[in-house]
Amino acid sequence: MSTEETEARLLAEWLATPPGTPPPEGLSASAVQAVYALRPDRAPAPRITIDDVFSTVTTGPYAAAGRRGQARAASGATPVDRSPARRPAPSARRWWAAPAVGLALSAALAAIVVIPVAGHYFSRGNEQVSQEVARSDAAPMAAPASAPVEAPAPVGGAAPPAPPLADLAPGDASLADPKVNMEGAEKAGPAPVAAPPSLPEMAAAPSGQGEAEARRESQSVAPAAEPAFGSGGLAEEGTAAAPPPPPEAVAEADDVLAKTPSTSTTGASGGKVAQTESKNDTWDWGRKKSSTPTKNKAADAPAAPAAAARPARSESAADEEAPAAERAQSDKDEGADPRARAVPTDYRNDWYNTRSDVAAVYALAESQRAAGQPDSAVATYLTLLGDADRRVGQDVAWRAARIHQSAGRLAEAQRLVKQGLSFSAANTPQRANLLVLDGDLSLARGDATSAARSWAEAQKLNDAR
Amino acid sequence: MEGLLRGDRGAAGTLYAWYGDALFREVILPRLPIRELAENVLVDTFRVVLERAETYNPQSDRSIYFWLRRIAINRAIDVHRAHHRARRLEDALEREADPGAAVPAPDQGADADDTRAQVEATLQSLNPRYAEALRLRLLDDLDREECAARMGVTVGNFDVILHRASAAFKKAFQPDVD
Repeated sequence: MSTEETEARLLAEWLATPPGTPPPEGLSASAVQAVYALRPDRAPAPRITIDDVFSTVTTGPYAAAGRRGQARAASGATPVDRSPARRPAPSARRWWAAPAVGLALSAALAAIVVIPVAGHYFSRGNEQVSQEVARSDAAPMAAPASAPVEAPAPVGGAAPPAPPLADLAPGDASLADPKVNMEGAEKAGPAPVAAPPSLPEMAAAPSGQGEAEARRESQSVAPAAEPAFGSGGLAEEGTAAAPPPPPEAVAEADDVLAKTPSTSTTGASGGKVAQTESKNDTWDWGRKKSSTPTKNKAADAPAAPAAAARPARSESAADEEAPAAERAQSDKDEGADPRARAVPTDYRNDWYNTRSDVAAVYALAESQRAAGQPDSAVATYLTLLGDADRRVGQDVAWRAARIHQSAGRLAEAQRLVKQGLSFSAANTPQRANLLVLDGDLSLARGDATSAARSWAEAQKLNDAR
Repeated sequence: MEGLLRGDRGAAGTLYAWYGDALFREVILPRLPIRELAENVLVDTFRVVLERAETYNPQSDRSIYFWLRRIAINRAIDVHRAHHRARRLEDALEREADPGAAVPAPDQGADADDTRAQVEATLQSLNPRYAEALRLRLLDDLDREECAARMGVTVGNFDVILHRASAAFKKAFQPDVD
């Protein structure tokens, strides 16, 4: 095989790997550069934070921070220390050092009002809110119904605005500018989907999955190698050993799990289905409930007796693996729909609540979205795109992509999804959500093969968690 | 900007959150496809911004992002040249040790630019077959088999075409004039 054929094979193999995978040894730099120029989303995310920058500053108004960094360097830590161990525990971190602190302060009052309202968006039982959201989704982008929602000014000063999309060059904007070719393809292709495709309900997940969910819950509380909101994205990249999660973060996560409400439903399957549904609420986020009987598990009569006949199961994390027969029954119940098992059942809409800065941003974004300002909501979410906790970056990419999807901007939605996927390959519900959305978008754009592949990958992740 | 001039850490954090990722992926890595070096350039870029925030000129810099971008490009080019000088020195030393080693190709330099418009202009300047290969595989994100089928070639041939197209693209991608 000639050198060119070897490099061609290496390039082909590299392009088949997930975004963010380093290029193989032996592939020419020109090929790598061309790929990064054409597909920035394939590039890995930077593994540094603003603290790394502060430690290098030696002059100007930030010089004091730089001197502190040099003092740390003199004491043994490297000036640009990318080790996650360098990050202080959340309880010890000075509150004013949080990147989104200004936004958090400005959204504090809004959060008091909005968080309960936002939570209703995720409730299957709240038809009124679902209708409001549907109306806001249908509102024309160019003419928002009301004045922009602005949080009241905080005590400390004006809140920093969302990243100014207009500030970016027309050809540069990673936040707003879809790929040129995808835009052209969309214009030439079928009409964009005005609303996301109707998706199968997650409602009546058979109780055979119940203990799997309990297992995932317990595992998601404090995974051994991943700090609660630390540098989880670094751990799986092997750059350094991740410190154990701060005790208060683990305790808070436990409390959140304990308090996760069981949303009552009309499903005939009863309490088990209700608890499952409360975790699967994400797929009603921003959309009406599906009216397709076959997709509504709660109303699926044949499934109900089978579910009711299964023995009740303990929520304990010590539950054993589901018997093979029950697993087969759950497979049968979900039918041949490849997407059904791709949706993560362990994703919780309030998973981020141990971080007040993240919660404030989410609250503001949801208020903007509810007010018919999807662009503002996207921009607000994307302020967290570079968060050191890769789950946050992936989650906001997913949420922002969903807004683009609702607006029919499929190419932009998919670009965001792929960017989010590149942040981390860790097996998390956030990653699974991105893969499911990737499949949905591929299907909407006529690529059923890619859709099936994305869903299959999500299902593999779910089964392994 | 006012926050940066005051030394407000929150403002610096917000600026990094807004633009750090985009600068890394779209500006620095296409010029300097070595992750560790690219991260050093990113740190350096923001260090310069924090140390010299007063040099930002809204009239000439057009926008904060363009200002950051220009700094990042210059730093990336400097590091790329220094890296390749070091590589050439290493190669020269290796050749001294091994007279039979092949002479490396001349360094093309860091020529890539990151704007979407220039990407499109570059694609249009290429051999149409190369442009088609790049569009199908990288922009439309089709798999190899589908791309090969659409172009009427075998999968192996498509891989070679794509590789040649990547090299041609990189050569044609013009640098910024800074």
